[in-house]
Amino acid sequence: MITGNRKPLTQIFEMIKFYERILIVGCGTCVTVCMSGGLKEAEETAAAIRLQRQQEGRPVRVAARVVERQCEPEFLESLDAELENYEVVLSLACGIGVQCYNLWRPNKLTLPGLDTVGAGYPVKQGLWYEACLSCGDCMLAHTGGICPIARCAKSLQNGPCGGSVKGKCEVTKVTTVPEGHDCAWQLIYDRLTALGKLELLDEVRPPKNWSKAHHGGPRKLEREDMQIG
Amino acid sequence: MEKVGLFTPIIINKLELKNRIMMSPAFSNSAAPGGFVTDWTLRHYQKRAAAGVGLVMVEHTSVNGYYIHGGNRLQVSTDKHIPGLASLARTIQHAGAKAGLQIAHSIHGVGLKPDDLPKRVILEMIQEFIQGARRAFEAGFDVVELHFAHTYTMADLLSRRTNRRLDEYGGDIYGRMRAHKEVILGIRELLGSDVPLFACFSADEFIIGGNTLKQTRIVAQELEKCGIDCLDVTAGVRFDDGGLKGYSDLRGKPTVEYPDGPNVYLAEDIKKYVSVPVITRGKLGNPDFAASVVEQGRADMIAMIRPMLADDKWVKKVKAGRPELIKTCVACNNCLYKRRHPDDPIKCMERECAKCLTCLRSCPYHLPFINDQGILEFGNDWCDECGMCSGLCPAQVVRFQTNPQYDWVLDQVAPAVRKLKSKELRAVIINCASGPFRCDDKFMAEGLAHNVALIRVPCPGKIETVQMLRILELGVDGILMARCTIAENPECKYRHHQPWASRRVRRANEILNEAQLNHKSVIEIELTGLQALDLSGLTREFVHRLQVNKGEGGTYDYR
Amino acid sequence: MAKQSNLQKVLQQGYFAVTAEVGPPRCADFAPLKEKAEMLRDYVDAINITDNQTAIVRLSSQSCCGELVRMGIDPVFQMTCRDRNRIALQSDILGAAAQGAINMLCLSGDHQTFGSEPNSKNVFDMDSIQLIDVLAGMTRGVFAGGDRMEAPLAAFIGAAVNPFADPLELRVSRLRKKVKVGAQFVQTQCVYDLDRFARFMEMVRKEGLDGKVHILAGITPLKSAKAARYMRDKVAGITVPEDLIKRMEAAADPKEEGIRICLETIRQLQEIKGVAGIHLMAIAWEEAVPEIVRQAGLYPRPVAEG
Repeated sequence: MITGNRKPLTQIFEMIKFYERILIVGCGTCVTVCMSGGLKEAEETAAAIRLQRQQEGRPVRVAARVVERQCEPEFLESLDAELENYEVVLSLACGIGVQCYNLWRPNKLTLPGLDTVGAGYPVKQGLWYEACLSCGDCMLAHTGGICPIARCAKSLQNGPCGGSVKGKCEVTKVTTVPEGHDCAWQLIYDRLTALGKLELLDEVRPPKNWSKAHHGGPRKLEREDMQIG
Repeated sequence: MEKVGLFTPIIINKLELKNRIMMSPAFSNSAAPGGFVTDWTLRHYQKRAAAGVGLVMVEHTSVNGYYIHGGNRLQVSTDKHIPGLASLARTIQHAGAKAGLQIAHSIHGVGLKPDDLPKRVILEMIQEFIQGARRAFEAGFDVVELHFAHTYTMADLLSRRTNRRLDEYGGDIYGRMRAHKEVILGIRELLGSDVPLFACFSADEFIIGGNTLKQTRIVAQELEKCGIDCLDVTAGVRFDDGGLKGYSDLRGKPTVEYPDGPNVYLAEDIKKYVSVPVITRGKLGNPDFAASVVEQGRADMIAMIRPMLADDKWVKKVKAGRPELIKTCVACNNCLYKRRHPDDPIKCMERECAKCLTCLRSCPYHLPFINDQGILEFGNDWCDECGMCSGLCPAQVVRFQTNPQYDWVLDQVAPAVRKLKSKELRAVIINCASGPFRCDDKFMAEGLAHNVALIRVPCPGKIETVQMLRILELGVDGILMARCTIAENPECKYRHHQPWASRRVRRANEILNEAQLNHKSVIEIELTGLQALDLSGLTREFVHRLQVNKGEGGTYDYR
Repeated sequence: MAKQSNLQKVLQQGYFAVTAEVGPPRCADFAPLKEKAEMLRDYVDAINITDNQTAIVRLSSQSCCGELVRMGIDPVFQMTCRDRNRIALQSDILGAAAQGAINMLCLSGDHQTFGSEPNSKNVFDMDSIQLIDVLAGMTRGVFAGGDRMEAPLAAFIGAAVNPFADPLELRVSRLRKKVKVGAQFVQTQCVYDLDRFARFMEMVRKEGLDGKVHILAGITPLKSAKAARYMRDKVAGITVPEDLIKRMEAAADPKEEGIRICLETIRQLQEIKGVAGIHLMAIAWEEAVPEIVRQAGLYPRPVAEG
C-alpha cells in the first residue's frame, strides 16, 4: 500500500490560513489502512483546525469526509454536492489523490494534507516499512525476495557496504529510531543462507538500467486492448 | 395443483404481484428535513425494484410530524408530502415493481408510553392514519401497510406489556386493538374495500410480559375480520428493555448466529388461523431456503432488506438461476445501526471496510475472521461488546453505538458543559461509571460544579482522541481522564482498553502541541479505589493547575 | 606497455608498500594540502586524496590529485558513488587520468546523513563493484554505455574492503567480486581487531585471492581514549577492541601510546601472509606518519624501477 504521514499541523494551518470554508477529504484505501489519512485522521485534523481558529478568534467551517479512492474520478462524485459549499479541499490522500482531485475538480484548489512516504507494508499493527521504490526493473529474484534498492540506504546491488555492523545499517548511527534500520544485505544474506542459495551473491550485478525507473522520464502504463472508447 | 414458488404470481385484493418477494420496509435514513423524499431515496428503491422485486414496500413513513421516531424519516403527515411520494411511487412502478407505503406513528420517539397518552391524541392518531393512507393512495401507491409492529405507538397499544390503560383502548386484547380496528374501518369507509391494505405486526414480541402467539393469533383473526388483505408477520424489535441491543431487537433482524428464517414458524402458525396471505421476514437471504418457505406453504410471501443491501440484484440473480453470483449478506447488521455518520443513509457497510484487519488483530477474543468470501465477519455470538475494535477502526465502520443518531460529545458532554456557570475556566472530568468512582457527590458541596462537568462513561479508555479534541472545541480548557487501576478490577469487561487510554491522551496532546494550543490540555490519571474517593480533591488540584497554566500563557509543566 | 604509477611498480616489484591519506581543505586553496603532502613526500609511496569523506564538503579530490602530480607525488584518486552518476564518474576518471593520476580507488561512500549536507539527495547510480567494472572497461577502451573511447585509459584500479563489517563471510565474497571485475589493489578499513583481520586473511588466502590482488592493511593511530571511543561508536564499520580503549585510558601519554599500538599492529601485519603493505589514515594527525614509518623500519621508501 501507499503510506504517508499527516503533514505537521503548523504547515497545514499556514496553507489554509486565507480560507474559511474547508473540506477535509480522507481516502478510504491505502492511507486509511496505514492510519494516516482516513476518516478518523480527517476528523482529528478538522478538530485541530477548529481549535486553532477558536484560539485566533477567526471563523472557520470545516467538515471531514472520506471517499473510497481519490485516484478514481467516479469516487469523487459522492462529494460533489457538498464541494460547492467549500472554498478549498484539504486532501489527506497520497500525492496521487491530491493531484487527481485537482485534475478532476479543476475549479477547486485541493491542498495536500499528507506527506506521502511510499510503498510499504505493515510489519505489525501500527508499524510500516518502505519496501518498494518502483524502480521498474525488479531484482527480487536475485536477492531472496528482499529489495536492496528500497531497503538499503545506498541502493547497493552487489552486497553490503562497509557500514553494516551487527545486522544494522550505518545510517542507524545518526537516526533517532531507537531500534535502527536492519541492513538489507544482512537480511538477504540470512535469507539466502536459509534457502541454501548463497551462490546468488557471487553473481556480479551489472550497472542497473535506471531508465526503467523515473529517471527515464515520467512513466506511463498502457493496455491499449483495455481502453474504453 | 400447480406448484407454488418464489416466482409464482399472486393476487391480493386488486393487487397483482409478479412474484412473492417483497422488499422489507426498512428505515433508510435518507429523507430531507421535514420528511421529504430525496434523490437518494429514489435511487435506493429504484435499484431494487429494477432488479425484479415483486413488491417494494417503502419504509416507515410517519403520519405525524411530531410523534415521529428519530433519524431522517419520511413523512406523509401533510398534503405537501404527496408530490415527493408520488415521484417515488412512479419511480418504483416504472422500474417494474408494485409500490407500497408503510405508514407509522411513534410516541417512543418523544419518550412517551401508551399510559401517558391522552385519549385525544389516540383519536387524532387514528384520523392521521386514515389521512396518511389517503395521501399514499393519492400519491399513486398500489398498497398501504399499517405498521402495528416493533416499537411504535400501535405496537405499544397492542402489547400487553406496555398498554396498561384503563379506558376502552386498554384492557384485554380486544380493547388493546380497538385503535387498530378503528384505523382499518376508517380507511375502508373513506377509500372503499378494494384498496389493498396490509398490516404488519409482531407475532411474538420476544420480551418478558409481551405478546406471544397466544395473543397474536387473535390479533391476526381480528385484523382479517376488519378487512386487512395481507398480514406481514414480523417479530421482536421491542426497545423497552434492551434498546437496540436487546434480544427482542435481535429477533427482528437475526444476526449471523441464527439459522436461516428463524421467524418463519411464526408466519406458519398465523397462517393456520387466517385465510389471507401471510408474509414472513427475517434472515431469508439464502435463496434455496427462501424458496422452500414458499414452496412448502409455510408463508405466502417472503420479505427481506439486508440481502438486498448487500446485493441489490439479489432477485435478478435468483431468478436467473445464478445464486453463486450473489454478494452474500453476512447478517452483521452494520447496515442497520453501525453507520459511520449519523446522517449516512442505509447501506451495506461491507463495502466501507478498508480491510485493514485492525479489528481482527485487536479483538481480545479473536472473534473477527476472514470468511470464505474474503469478507471480514464478526463472530457476534461470543462478542463481549468491549468496543476495542470499534475504537480502533480507522474507517469508522465498526460502531457499537446503540443509536446511530447519538453523538456522545454533542448529546452528553455538550449539555453538561453548557450548564457550567464559569466562563473563565471550564474543565471536564471523565471517569469510570462504576466502583468507587461513583462517590462523586462531594462536587456540588465543595463548589466545583462552577467549573467542572463530570461525565461518567463505561471506561475512559474508550474515549477516542477525536472526541477529546471535540470536547476542547466546546470551550473546555482541560480534560482529566480519571481511570481505575486495572489490578483492582481484573474482571472489568473493558480491561483491554487500559493501555489505550494513555495512548489516546498522548496523541491528543501531540496534536495540541503541534497546533500550538498549549493553553489546553488533556491529562490522564490512574487512581486506586481509595484515591478515587478523593476525586474532588484531585479535581481541585487539576483546576488549580489549569488556572496557573492559563495565567502563564500555556507554559505550565503539568508533571 | 601502459603507463604505470609509482604505487603499482612498488607493489609489483614486491616491496612492502606504504600509503597515507590526506583530506583536502574546506576552501579553494591548495596550500594546506601541499603542506601536508610535502611532509609525507619521502615517507610514502602514494597519497590517497579522499572524496568528501564522511560526506563533508571539501575541495574536489580530482583537482587535488592533479596538484599532487604537479608536485611529483603519486596520488590515489578516491571516488565515491554517493555524489555522481556514471556520466560524472567517467568524466572525472578521464580528468584525473589526464592530469597523471592513475591510481583510482572505487568506494561506495559514507551515507550523506553523516556529513555536512544531511538533507541532500544521494545518487548511487552504481555501487563500488559496478564502478570497478566500468573502470576496468575503460582500460579496455569502452565506456559504461558501450561506446568506444578515443584511446584506452591507463589506470591502477583500487577498491576498499572492510573486514570488520558484518557478515564476515560476505566480506570475502565482496572482495572476490571486486577482484573478478578488475580490482588490482585493495585498502582495508582501520585494523584494530587483529584476530578478526587474521581470520579474514585466512579466508582470503584459502581462495587464493592474495595472489590476485595487493592487499594494504589500513592503520589509524589513536590520539586519545576519547578518539578511540569515538571511532568505535560513531564511525561506520569500525570495531575497536575494549582492551585497546583501556590501554589508551591508562596511558600517561596517550599520543605516544597510540603510536606504540600502531607500531605493534604494523609488526603483526607484516607477519600475516598476503598483506602487501599498509595504508596510514592519520586523520587530522598527518604529522605522526613520518615517525611511524621511520620507527617501523619502513624508511627510506624504495625507488621502483621502470
